[in-house]
Amino acid sequence: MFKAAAAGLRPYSETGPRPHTSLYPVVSEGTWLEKNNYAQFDGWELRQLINFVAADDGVPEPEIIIEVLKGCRNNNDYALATRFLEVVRLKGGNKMSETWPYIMQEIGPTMQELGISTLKEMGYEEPELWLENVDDM
Amino acid sequence: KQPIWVAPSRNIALTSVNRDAPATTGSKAVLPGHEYYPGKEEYSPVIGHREIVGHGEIPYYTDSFTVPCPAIRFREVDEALGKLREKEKGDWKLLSLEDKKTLYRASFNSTLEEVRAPSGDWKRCIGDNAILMALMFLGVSVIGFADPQYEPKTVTNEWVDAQTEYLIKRRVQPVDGIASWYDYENNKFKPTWSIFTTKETSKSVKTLSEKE
Repeated sequence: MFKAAAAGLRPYSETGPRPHTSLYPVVSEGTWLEKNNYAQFDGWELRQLINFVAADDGVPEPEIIIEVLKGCRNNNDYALATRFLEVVRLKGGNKMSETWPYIMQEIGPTMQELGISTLKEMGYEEPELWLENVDDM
Repeated sequence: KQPIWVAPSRNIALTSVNRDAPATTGSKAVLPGHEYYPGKEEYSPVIGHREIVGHGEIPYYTDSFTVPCPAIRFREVDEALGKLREKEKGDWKLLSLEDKKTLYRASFNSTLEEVRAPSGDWKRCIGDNAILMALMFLGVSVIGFADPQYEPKTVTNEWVDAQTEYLIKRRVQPVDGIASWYDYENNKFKPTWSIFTTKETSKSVKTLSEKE
């Protein structure tokens, strides 16, 4: 880590201040997860974070996903947890069949602990209802 | 001295809306189970009795992959929904699948898979175009040719008879064509010609066949 810093490289998490930093005090210095305690985020801040995750070019790591799900649990918002899982799944893009099973493997225990049912059980891996597109009316 | 840039406050953005539409009385009483979010009564002419859950100057709802979590929930506040929210505060393992689906549809209009689903509009486009092309062909073939003004003169019997007389006199196409079907000894068409004549044989054909 220090050698990389000497060479001018730095990890993606330290490229700059992220807007989704919380109003709550920093837990301790260290990795990005320890700096931003996502589990204590407000409902408003969690939604901001999820919007930025959707805008970022990459699939979030399982540790961050677990923290966000715990944040949803603390805010008593079940719908937000499913929406976040949908976002994580679709972030895989063409490699969805490779990334999604791995992520389900990693976060399966926490999901069972919290009581969140998987997208397959909810039936949200395929479209459920049909809506007419506004551009085609 | 430079003017200070002040962030626009909510009241500035909302007064234009209040002037146009009559202000409906927002629900001041919060139904049990739902939390109070600041500015709920001010925004009711814009969004109705929906909870504000995110940042946004004037919140609106959209379904999109780039903005998956909009600033307001989709459905309005209800008593049945309030009871569900109380249940949501407890253990999530006690929620049934239907409860979970109603909670999702209360916050969001459609899932992200439904946003990605194809609409099938190309079928309508091709179908409409096919109908219009069929109407055009119908018009040209039936209406366009019905008027004798639009009939070409080369189709009339007079023209065709004069044409055949000329061709036979000039003995064109003697091998495979018209001159090979005409019997110049007896001055009439060979029997194979009968395929192409109408029931009433035209004048020139009669005269040609009756010549010496």
